[in-house]
Amino acid sequence: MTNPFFASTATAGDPGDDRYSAQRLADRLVRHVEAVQQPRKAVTAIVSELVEHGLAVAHLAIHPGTSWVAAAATSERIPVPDEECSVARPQAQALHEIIQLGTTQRWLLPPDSPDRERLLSLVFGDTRLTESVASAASRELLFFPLRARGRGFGLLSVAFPGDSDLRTEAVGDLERTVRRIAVSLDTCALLAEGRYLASTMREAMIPAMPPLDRTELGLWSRIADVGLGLGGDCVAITGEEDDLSVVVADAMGKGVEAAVTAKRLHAAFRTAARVDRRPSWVLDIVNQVASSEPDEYAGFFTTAACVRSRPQPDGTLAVDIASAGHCPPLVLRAGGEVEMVGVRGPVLGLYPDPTFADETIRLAPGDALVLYTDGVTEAQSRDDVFGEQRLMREVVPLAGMRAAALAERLGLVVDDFADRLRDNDDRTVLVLRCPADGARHGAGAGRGAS
Amino acid sequence: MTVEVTHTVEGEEYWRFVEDDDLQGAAGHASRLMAEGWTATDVIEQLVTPTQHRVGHLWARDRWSVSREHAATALNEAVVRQVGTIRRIGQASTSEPEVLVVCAELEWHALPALAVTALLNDAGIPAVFLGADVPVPNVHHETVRLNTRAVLVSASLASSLPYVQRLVGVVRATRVPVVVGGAAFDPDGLRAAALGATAAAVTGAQLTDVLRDLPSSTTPMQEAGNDAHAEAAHLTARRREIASATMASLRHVQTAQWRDFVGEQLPHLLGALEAALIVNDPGIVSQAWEWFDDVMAARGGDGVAATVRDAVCDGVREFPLASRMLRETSSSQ
Repeated sequence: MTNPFFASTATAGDPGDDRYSAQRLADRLVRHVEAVQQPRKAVTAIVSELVEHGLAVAHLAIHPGTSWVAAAATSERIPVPDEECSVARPQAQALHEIIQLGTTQRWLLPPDSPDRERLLSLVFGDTRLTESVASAASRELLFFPLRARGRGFGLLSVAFPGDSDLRTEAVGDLERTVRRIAVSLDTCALLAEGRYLASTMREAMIPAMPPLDRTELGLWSRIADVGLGLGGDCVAITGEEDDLSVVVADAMGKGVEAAVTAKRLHAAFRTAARVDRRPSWVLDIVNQVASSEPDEYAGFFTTAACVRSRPQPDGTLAVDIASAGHCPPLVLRAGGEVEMVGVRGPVLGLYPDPTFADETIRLAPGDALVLYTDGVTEAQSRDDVFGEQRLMREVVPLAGMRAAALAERLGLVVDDFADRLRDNDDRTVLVLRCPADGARHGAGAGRGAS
Repeated sequence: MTVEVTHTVEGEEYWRFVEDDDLQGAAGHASRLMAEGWTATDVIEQLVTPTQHRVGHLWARDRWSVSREHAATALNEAVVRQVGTIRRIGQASTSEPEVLVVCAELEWHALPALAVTALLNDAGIPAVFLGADVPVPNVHHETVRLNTRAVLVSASLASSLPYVQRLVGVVRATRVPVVVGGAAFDPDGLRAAALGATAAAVTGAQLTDVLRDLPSSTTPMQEAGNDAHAEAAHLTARRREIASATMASLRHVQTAQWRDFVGEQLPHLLGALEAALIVNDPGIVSQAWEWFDDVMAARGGDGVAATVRDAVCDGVREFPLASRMLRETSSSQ
């Protein structure tokens, strides 16, 4: 095996072989970055691999967005623990300045002098990395700025062992390797940013169910576009248990556009419900918001079911429901009877001045209200559609289950029915249940999966 | 199938709450024990797990209905969520290492994976629960989104192994180690190794050891499918189709009483056949049919299993290796 950095005796220093070995290392690093798709893991793998190929110290710090991601390895520690690689403010300044220079920098390290310490701590901060460079008796520190999309965004700092017999081409090969890694790392960081953005937005749109004493809430939600990590279904819960508002909404369309539409109305729901909890009133306000959207959002209609729930002294829940073109909610009685709530209203954003009406139902202990989005009833198998009738049949055996279990079980029933190749809609099930007698407890609601 | 349950005083008291479907009582009992010094792990290992075995046993003997079994399982799940640390995936750290715990795709019982998540967190290893029946693309999404230390796959049914194999491949492609565990695996780790898992764990204690010794990253799987793998893949793709054709062919011999039950079990019996091909362990097939025979007999369906097996033999006749395995295991019983 030839080494990409050091003159090899095995091949009598055949430059062709050595270059090949440098390219192979670059290939392996790029493949690894592409595989892990995670900046922190990627930088750790790169420095580890470099040190395994004989470098004394490797420190890689990238700043793709708003924060630094850094990793280091030394011949004694592969990799160095994260907390010793973080980039502090003075260090960040030094790194930025070197990155701005844009080309490889070689700093000669004056032996055993205060200058040497100062130089090292300037880039590595106050860590044991400085000691590692000292113990390897490195003669110089090399900096390779990482560039992609016309800007510098990271820096690889390396030191070779002082006694090493470097190949003439070693630094040039390392430069070429860094150029390739930089492009992959940049892509990797972009992907990670996108995923972070999507998951943050999703967390806001499909929040955790609050634990309550006299009401059980259960939620199961799954998005169709897993790669994007965002969908058009959203859920909002506002108010206290004495007077609780629950909204399940579904923005038509898919992906980012649907998610943005849903998020805009999500804020409107929460705001409206703070002023007046009557579902018809809430939908009316949200419709005004939806109708006055700028043209570029026109056409992204949203359906919603809005519910107000108030526990009664007799242990039941009084529930008002209004609908804006949403799938009809189901009431699953404790004994297994299923009723469809015949509440209707136009889709949000369709007419400027529609009328929404409230329908009031009573949930006795053990009764559950099932809200869902059309991804449930329109789930497709190879040759069939799930449909309302099947839904009404499938919920029957779930009577008596607690809200969280009911929502999850129903979600799984639909998922099992659906053919994952054909089926491409977001699906949400929200269950609001009046706890069975004597079983007052926190909802403990989980969420199915992302 | 024998079930060993040690009946402790605490366990018996808990069992009575489960029998009454009294979540508040069961959770209160667990809380009191924890106030006396029990850990979440103790509650899971000494109350929840034995109870769940008992529930499964009663269901298999047809002494408990499906809905009663579901209620008891949901109760146990709620207790695990209450005593243990179960974070939602949205609460996972994107920078600190996390272990992702998933149930095999198509497995609906979240309890084993939930319990594992709580056990790990109790042992100081941060773990998040991804959910039941999580599709492989969703697992991939979360694996690369988070700083995933390892993916832990819980599989209770042998019929899940083909899905576990796919998951192992997808996760290892991201260089993340995969640990497998659950009733679908053998104590010697042979099935886990055949699937390409980085490690296997049978008990909770083993699991924490395995995770502490796990390499930080792994290599992608080598594509080395043999004839058995290819045949298993075809069978998996046609599992539903073969199951419905088999059901249709059984119409004249079946009473309505068993139709739903047989219909539910057929995909698992076929899945066991695929699993046996993949990990080269005919024992999976014989175990699956023995279990089915027992459960049918408990429901008064003596001989039904044999009829179903003949129909399955016919259903998979285009698959030479599967047919042979099915014939050989049936003749040895």
